Amino acid sequence: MPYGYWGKMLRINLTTGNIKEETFEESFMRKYFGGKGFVSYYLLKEVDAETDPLGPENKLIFATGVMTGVPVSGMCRYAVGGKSPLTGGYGQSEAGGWWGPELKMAGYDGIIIEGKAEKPVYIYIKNEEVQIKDATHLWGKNTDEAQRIIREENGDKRIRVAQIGPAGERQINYACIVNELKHANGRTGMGAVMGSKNLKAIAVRGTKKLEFKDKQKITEIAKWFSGYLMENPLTYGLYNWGTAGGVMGLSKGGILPTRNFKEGSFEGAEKIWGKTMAETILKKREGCYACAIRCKRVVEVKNDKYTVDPEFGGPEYETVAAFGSLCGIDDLEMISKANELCNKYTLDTISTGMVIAFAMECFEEGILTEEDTGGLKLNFGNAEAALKLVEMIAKKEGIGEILALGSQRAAEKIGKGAEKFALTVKNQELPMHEPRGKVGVGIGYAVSDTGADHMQAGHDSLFTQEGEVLDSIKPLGILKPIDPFDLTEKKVREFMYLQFLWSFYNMAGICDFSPVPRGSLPLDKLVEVMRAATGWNVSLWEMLKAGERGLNMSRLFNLRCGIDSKDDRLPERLYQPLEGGSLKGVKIDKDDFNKAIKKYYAMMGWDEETGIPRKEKLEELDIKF
Amino acid sequence: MVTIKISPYFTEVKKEIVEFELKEEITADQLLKQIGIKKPEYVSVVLNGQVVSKDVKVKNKDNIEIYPIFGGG
Ligand code: SF4
Repeated sequence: MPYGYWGKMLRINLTTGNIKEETFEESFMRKYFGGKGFVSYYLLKEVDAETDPLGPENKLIFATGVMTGVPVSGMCRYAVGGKSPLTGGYGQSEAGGWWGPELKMAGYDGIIIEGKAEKPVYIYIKNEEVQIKDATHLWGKNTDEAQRIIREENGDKRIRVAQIGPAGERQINYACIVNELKHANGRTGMGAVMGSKNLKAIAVRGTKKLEFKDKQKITEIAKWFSGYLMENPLTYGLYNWGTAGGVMGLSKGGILPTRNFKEGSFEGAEKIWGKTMAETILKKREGCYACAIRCKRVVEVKNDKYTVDPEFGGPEYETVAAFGSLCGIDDLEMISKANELCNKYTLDTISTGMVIAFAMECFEEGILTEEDTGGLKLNFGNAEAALKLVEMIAKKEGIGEILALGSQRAAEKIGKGAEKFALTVKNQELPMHEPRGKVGVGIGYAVSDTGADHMQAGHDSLFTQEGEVLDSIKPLGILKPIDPFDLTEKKVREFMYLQFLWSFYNMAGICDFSPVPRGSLPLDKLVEVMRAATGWNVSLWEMLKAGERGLNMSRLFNLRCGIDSKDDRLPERLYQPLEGGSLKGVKIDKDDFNKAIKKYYAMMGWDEETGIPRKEKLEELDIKF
Repeated sequence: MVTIKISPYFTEVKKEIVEFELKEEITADQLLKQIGIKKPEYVSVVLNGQVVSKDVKVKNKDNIEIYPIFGGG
């Protein structure tokens, strides 16, 4: 009997209406661990180079990890993946909240969606009862209304709904999927893939009991961790001030993306950081399933200009920076409104903020004019104009139609040199972390399988000195502090080992704020929890190898799609000096950076020039596709 | 007099601003310990507007701000 998972996937074909269950062996779970492992497995197996990301042949995979649903802080996540309309290659994004554990409690480890429904539908899963239901009446509705109707018509207000809003229905390249109105599978446009299948939502209610090998041990560790995490600044800070609690430190350090990455410090940082949020609009702190860290914010705003409904949660750091400093905006209420709109329409807040900042810079440079923007004065700092743009993008109205393509494609359409203001890797917009002050993050952006991504590995700034944080990753073989600007083999090795760990977290369904080094659950305790949940004599080595396997598999899928070493690059702006802030003048040396990328390939067992995994590396990891 | 503005991240120090007279120059790290910061490794020190390393010397009339080293996610 499996512990911590079921060994069961649902396969639902929306063209034929066929619903079937597929089972898998223990060895399959122990090799891929779920999440990213499953997404890359099914994509490699079932999706080919010619597949149109928005065509019926694409697959949309919802995958929990082996740890999703274990009642310990942070064990709540699931991944959604498919071929990405934004990057044209490997698409995947994880979310927390409650939907993943709920699917587990319904008796499934994941769902593979195929085909395209003739008319809008949603899937309703109540334990093993699975139905495809009409969603014509839900199409066009915002997420709050759709969720309310789904719960009402199925007579259960505890149904968890993962869904798309109008932006997903319109197949906007960076549309996301939102669960519980506030937890997003934000990146790589998975909401657009869902929209292309005419699938409005997957509503789940699970009441089955998931068995664990040693329940008592899990309870013991969960209890210990709930106390310990309030003693550790990395985790209690998240509770107190949320992810936006770091804004001031980043700004002072010169690494807060400001005005489309031109600068690294923002004069309005104090108005938008987590402390200000806590003292003004914060209504309550919340957590995902079983999580005592509770980094989530719920905000409420009622002013002359707008109201922000607390149902949609509150802005995370990424959203605060993307609509705040990045757009030169210091108005936390407006940022919260933008967050609410993105959750209503299902737009990725990072890409949306980046696209708006791109448009603002184009406007300031005279590339876009009021004629193009329909009279909007798109200067940095114009909060009202930014909000209007969110609406226009979601509706594909006016300039919003071009911006809905994503900044890279929009820049190509606009021309006139707009390309240099579109800051993307593999067409995906940069997240809110400045690689010029922490170059390991730059390596992550460049080599990431999903395009620019800040969740590839722990960030350099955590490991610059001796102490608890460095100690926490010594079991990985990272023994000495490393300078954030270092681009030698030391940095590449550190990045690579941490990338294995992060990749594993994304496979197993673990939030990176829970275990070390970004959280505070020690690695040996994590192994203990895994053993207690699964009954396997699992080791850290095995986990890291699995993480490495996941990275090689997504790499192979990208190579199949024509995404290769030429795409592992940073936007030119990052090789130019920062124009302002406390790191003014600092840039990344392009030659050193390219050398580091080649070194990374070599360390990974990939061809140094082409970045293609060597046959023997694939053999070692037992990858055969 | 040295003025230290403390990020509320560090809950062990209840005040937001601490001021006191230094008898001699000390390092930022020593200063953090003096004001009761339990784990200075989590602190980023801003001295007169610039992020500095914790072994830098601080003196009277300096303005110091402390923030967490990490951010975002
Ligand atoms: S730390 Fe935050 S994001 Fe992670 S599981 Fe807990 S509440 Fe969710």
